[in-house]
Parts: sequence; C-alpha cells; structure tokens
Amino acid sequence: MDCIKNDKQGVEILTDYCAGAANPEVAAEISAHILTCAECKALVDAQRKVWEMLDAWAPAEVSPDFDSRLYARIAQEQTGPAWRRWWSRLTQPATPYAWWKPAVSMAVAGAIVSFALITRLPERTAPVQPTASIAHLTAGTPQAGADQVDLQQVEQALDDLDVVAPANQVPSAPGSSQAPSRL
Amino acid sequence: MSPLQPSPGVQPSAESGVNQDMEAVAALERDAQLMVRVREGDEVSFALLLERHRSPVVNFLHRMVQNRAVSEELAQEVFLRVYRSRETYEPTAKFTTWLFRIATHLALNWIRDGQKEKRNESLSEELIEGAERQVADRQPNVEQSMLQEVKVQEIRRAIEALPEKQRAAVLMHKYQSLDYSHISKALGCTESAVKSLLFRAYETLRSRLAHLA
Repeated sequence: MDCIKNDKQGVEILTDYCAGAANPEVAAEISAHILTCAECKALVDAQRKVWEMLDAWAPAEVSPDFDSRLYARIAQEQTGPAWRRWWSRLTQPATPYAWWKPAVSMAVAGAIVSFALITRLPERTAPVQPTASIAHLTAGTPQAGADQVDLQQVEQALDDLDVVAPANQVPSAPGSSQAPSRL
Repeated sequence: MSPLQPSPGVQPSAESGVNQDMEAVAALERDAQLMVRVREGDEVSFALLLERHRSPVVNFLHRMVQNRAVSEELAQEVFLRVYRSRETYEPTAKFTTWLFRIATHLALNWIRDGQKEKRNESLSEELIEGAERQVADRQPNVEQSMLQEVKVQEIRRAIEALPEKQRAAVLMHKYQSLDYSHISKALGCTESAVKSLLFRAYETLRSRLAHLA
C-alpha cells in the first residue's frame, strides 16, 4: 500500500486505525506497512500515544442526586402554568433552530413583492383612476363627449325600464290583490 | 489504552465486527423505542433512557466545559429538553445523535458565553477530584500521583485550547466512540468537515502533548 502520509484518505485511515475502527483488511495492510515504513510507523505511534494520553483523563462521577434533581425540575415544570411550558419549548428548543432560514426566505419574498409593486403598479393605476382635475381638463375632448353620451343613454334606458316594468307586472300576477298604482 | 484500540498485532475478526454492529443497531433501535414509549407517557422508559445515557452525557459535557457543577447542570438541561420534546419526537434520527446534538449545542453556548471565572474555579476542583480518584483506584505513591495529576492537567489544557468545534469533535470521537456520520449530525456540518476538524485537532494534540509521550 502507499504511505499513509501520501494517501488522500491517510488522515482518516490513520485515525480509524488507531481508534480500532478501520475495517480488518485495511488494518492488516497498515500493520504490515508500518513494519517496513519508518515514517508511517512514526505517525501511527504518535497518534497512538495521543490516544493513550487522552485515556488518562478519567471520566467524572455523576452526583448521586442527579436523577432526583432532574425529576424535581421536571415536576416543577409540569405543575407550572401551561403558557410557561409552551414558552420554554419555544425559546429553548431541544435542538438549535435556524431562525435565520425563514427570515431570509421572508426577506427575499418581501423584496420580490416590493420590486413588483414598484415597477408594475403605476402602469395599471394611472388609466384606471383618473383624478378630478384630469377629468376636468379632458371634458372637451371627443372621448369626454362619448362618455357623456353613454351616460345619457344609460339614464334613458333606465327610465324606459321604469315605464315598461309596471305594465309587465299585470299578467305575471293575475290573482294579486295589489294592482299597480299607475293602472 | 482505549477499549476501541486494537492490541498490537491483534485485529478484530469480521464475525466479531458484525456482531458488534448488530449489537449497536439493536441498542439504537432500543433507544428509539424507549423514546417512543416516553412519548406515549411511559415514565419508566424515560428512567431507562436516563440510566443508559446519564454518564456519557455528563462526561462529554464535563470534558467540554471542564467544570463538574456546570456539566451536571447542562446535562440536566439536556434531559429536561428531551423530556419536554417527547410529544414531538419522531424516530427519524438516531437517539444518541439527537442527544449529543442537544448536549453540544448547550455546551457551545455555555463556552461562548465566556464564563472564565467558573472555568478557573474548576481547575482547582478537578485537581482534587483527580487525585482522589487516582488514589482510590490504583493506590499509587505520591510521586506517581503527582505525575499523573500533571499529565491530566496538560491533557485538559491541550483539549481546552482547541477551538470549540474541534474540541467537541475529538471528545465525541475519542470518548463517546461516535462515528463521522453521528458527529457531523451532532455538530451540524458535513462528514468531510468533521474529518478535517479531527485531523487538525489530533495534529494540534500531537504537537502539544509530544513532551508527555
């Protein structure tokens, strides 16, 4: 095999080997290789020594009252008001919540909406909402005349409907006691 | 020597490796099952989870923050958050990964808060603890005890001097035997980033602890 120091995966192989996590075939290859390669042997020895030294740091003993304190805290929380439990869950999530992700999404969405409003809104609103002063200025134009004619025609049509409607009601309600006043 | 470290010239057989893997899978599934039962209101399952993971979590936090009182306080917070999240727990990720993600998050927050005075207090406290434990375990003479004490202090300082994420990665890799995948999920980074963190951390430790070898 190639020297560990020259291998792209050398660090991983070395770490796994010294941790006993390398697969048996790779471990056997390394064991054989370090018998003939002084540099790789030095690397492995150095890594092993680090691991052995780290073993000197013995684990701490857990206090005997650890569980009782924990259960007391749980009980205290369970008996507290519901809003406090809800607030604790919100502000102290079990795993860190990336608040910046939805914030960035919302900011981008807001920017897009703002851009669309700024660039498109004036084109649509100008012809739809003419101001009083513009209507006054354009009163003498042919277009204004056409608008006036249209309004007169509509009013006339409504008047005609008022005249015709009572006449139409007579045959539709022959048994009705309320006769149309105009008849 | 670490229990994970093979004896020179003796490599684990493929069969024993498979058995270990199967045992590990079974243990992980057991954790997830216990947590699902906790979600359903089974308090005994929570007690079992606490029994199984109390020491690893406290030890990890102890090595991260280097203060016994703080590590226990943070460990309590870890299990409190686990209990609090029981209703929303989904066994999508491995329980241990989730547990150490919570623990790492709390430890890093505590370290970033910069509570230097507590850390300094812990150094003298640990000296006493280490000496007492050593005397009780192996009955060494005074000189050996002092040498061991100095060695442990050097190791603690070397680990403490590592950047936070390197420290967390080394502690999970060395003492909790978590693989790259678990560590990457606990730290919220990629596996290649974990390998890089571990490489730099072990390089630093090799150079800092060379005089003790």
